[in-house]
Amino acid sequence: MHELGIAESALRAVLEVARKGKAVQVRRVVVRIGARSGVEPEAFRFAFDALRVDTRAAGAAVDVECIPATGRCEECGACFAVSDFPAGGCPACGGARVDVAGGMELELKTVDLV
Amino acid sequence: MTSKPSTCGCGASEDAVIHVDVSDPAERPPLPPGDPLPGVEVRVDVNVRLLDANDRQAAANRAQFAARRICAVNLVSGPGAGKTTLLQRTLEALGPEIRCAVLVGDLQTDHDARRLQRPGVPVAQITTGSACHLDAAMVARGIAALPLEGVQLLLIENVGNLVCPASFDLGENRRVVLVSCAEGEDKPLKYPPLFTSAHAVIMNKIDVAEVLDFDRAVSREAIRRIAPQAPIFELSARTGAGLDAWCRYLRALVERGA
Ligand SMILES: Nc1nc2c(ncn2[C@@H]2O[C@H](COP(=O)(O)OP(=O)(O)O)[C@@H](O)[C@H]2O)c(=O)[nH]1
Ligand SMILES: [Mg+2]
Ligand SMILES: [Zn+2]
Ligand SMILES: [Zn+2]
Repeated sequence: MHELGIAESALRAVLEVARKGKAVQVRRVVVRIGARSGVEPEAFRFAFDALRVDTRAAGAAVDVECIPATGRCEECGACFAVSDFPAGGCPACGGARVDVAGGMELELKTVDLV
Repeated sequence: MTSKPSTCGCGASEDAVIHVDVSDPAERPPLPPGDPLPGVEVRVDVNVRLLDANDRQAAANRAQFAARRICAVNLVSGPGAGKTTLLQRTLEALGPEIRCAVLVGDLQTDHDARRLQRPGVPVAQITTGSACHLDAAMVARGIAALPLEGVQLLLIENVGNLVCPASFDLGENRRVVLVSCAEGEDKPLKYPPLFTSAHAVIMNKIDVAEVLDFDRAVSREAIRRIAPQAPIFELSARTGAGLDAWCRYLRALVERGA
């Protein structure tokens, strides 16, 4: 249930932005969650909703951008989706060394204030 | 969410294990209050990692390890894969030549910390309460409680969980993920984030692989697909088979100052 802790740090960051921006309300929040971040977007949403009651973010729309897992071949530099983990390594050159290029994200991207 | 806290309700101990309880919710700073003022709609580009606070604490831990010339190893697995047993073996094998210390994370009990007690090896138990993983702040409190003078190798047993420890950097120098032959060969395919971040993978309980119809080659292939960067150690923490290669790995880390 660590989505609760992550949702808490997200809300903390959102409210901090709202406080610094002297906002009455938060209109919209965009977070980025990678497919390999270990965080379930739905569980995050659930926790975030539970926490933001009675805060200035209570009425905000929450957009979760889900970032797919991508790999980058160390040998030829090709980028590709790795959701199905192809056994043959890099689809372009067959190289075995593949770096994670995307999918580990866990970020607060934007906050819209009024 | 696949992890579920389990309790075992055993009694308290009266021995030398250092106890660090981090389950007190009063420790958390309150959410910042507001002072509302009307304004126009603006978009703020924040672009901050949600685990920013943890990352910063992890960096501080890492700096402390570097300053003290300690190599810290974070051992992660599902419950029962054999972390404590492997640590017992490792302490027996390396104890005479390398100064070790141990941090054990557990939801409720200090069973594991007591199993790991050895003369000259400081052990701290971090009781996490409901948290299903260790985070960098818990480790900071754990190391503050340990006598670290002269320690070369800090072994950290994370809470049994293959999901969230992936997200929480502890400041460790090496993250080692353990799978056992009593689990499916496809564990890495089901929990890719953790394996993606592993520096090394241990396949434990090879003594019972055959009986359990566990195909080591299939498991090896699954690990390589998700964690091509990680060396694989196939061993039995029970019989000691394959333990030498693992100990050589740790020895090399300590010698080169990881
Ligand atoms: N057969 C076999 N059993 C093991 C091995 N390593 C650990 N075990 C057993 O697996 C169970 C869980 O081990 P433990 O070290 O407590 O796992 P942890 O929860 O990851 O710390 C215990 O009953 C151990 O005796 C092994 O290499 N082979
Ligand atoms: Mg254990
Ligand atoms: Zn390639
Ligand atoms: Zn957790």
